[in-house]
Amino acid sequence: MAAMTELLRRVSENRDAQAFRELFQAYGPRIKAYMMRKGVEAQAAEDLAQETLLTVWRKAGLFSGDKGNATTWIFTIARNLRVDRVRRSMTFQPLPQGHQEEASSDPTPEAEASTSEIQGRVRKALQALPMDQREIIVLAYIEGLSQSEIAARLGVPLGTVKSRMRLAYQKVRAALEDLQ
Amino acid sequence: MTVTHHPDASTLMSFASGTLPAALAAAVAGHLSLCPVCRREARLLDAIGAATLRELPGAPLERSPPDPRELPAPDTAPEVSTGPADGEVPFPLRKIIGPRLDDRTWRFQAPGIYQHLIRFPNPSDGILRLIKASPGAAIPEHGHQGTELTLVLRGAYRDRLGAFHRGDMADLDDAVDHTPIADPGAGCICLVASEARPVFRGLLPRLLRPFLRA
Repeated sequence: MAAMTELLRRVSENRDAQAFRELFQAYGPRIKAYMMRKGVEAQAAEDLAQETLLTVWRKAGLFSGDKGNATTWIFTIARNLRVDRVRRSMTFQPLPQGHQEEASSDPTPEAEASTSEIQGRVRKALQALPMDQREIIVLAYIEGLSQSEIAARLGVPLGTVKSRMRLAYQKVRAALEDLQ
Repeated sequence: MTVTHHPDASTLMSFASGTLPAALAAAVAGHLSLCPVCRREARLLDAIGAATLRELPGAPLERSPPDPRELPAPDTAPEVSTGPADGEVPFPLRKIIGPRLDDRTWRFQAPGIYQHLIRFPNPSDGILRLIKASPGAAIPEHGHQGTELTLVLRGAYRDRLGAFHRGDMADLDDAVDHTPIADPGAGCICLVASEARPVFRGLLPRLLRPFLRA
């Protein structure tokens, strides 16, 4: 998705409306589906997808093209909007490279390896996960279920949900070890 | 002081997926702003969300993208003021606590223990409490229903899991009973996020229970 990051960089640096339309077409349908998975009906989900992309437009100046990844950045905007509007709860999560961190000079994995390389490895590692761990990832990130909701859905103890999350994470992390 | 106690990977994953109850998410956000190690983990966990979103089959849009001429003006300044970095309250928590711990109003809970309660509109968001413990004071032994996250904001405390200083987080589930004792010199102020009310055990805590009510 290096191409997407390039598009977002053009929006960020030049307010490039054509680049924005391409981002909209690439991410709009996925974000609409993402909202629908949390029980939002199609019309309202499309509104939320529009709002997510308009936020991308408005905040693009905060995106740093050489350090960030477009998909990760847009995911965090969609996630925060879903917490705020669909779960009707308060968000405490800044955007990546948001200005809430007290030490802004962290060495980031992005600074050391290309973001498309990281995204590619994360995707591969997720595909290689055992089914029960991959399922947990989808239930948390896409279906938007809490740990106890996942436990109830699968009929497993809460501790099992937590340990599958840990295992999945360790494997993804191991796949990136030599980059960090 | 280096942060040595961190939230569990499963807690960070729930945070990144946007599914952690608000009270717990607030405590994690506070820890992240004090802990570069976990910030790095959180970025990777966001990347997992991005990869998962990318695999999601899209739902076709009914409407076309907005006309570029109708797009709103971009934000020119960061949404959140960076402010002075020397405040005791981490930035993500300032909207609910304010910049200074000493500005809070504290209610007596038990000898040496004071509390400032922060409520959320939904019961499912959990409960957030600031606990101020005088030097050497013991917080009565308690277990939890569900996860409890404790973030030290000032001073330190010690329990059988070790010593916890500013930025350290205890991530405990309902299997853990513990009795934190505030640092004999500095005392302690912690942010405690729970999914449900703590369950106090034993005779003395039972006597204290009326005082410990939220």
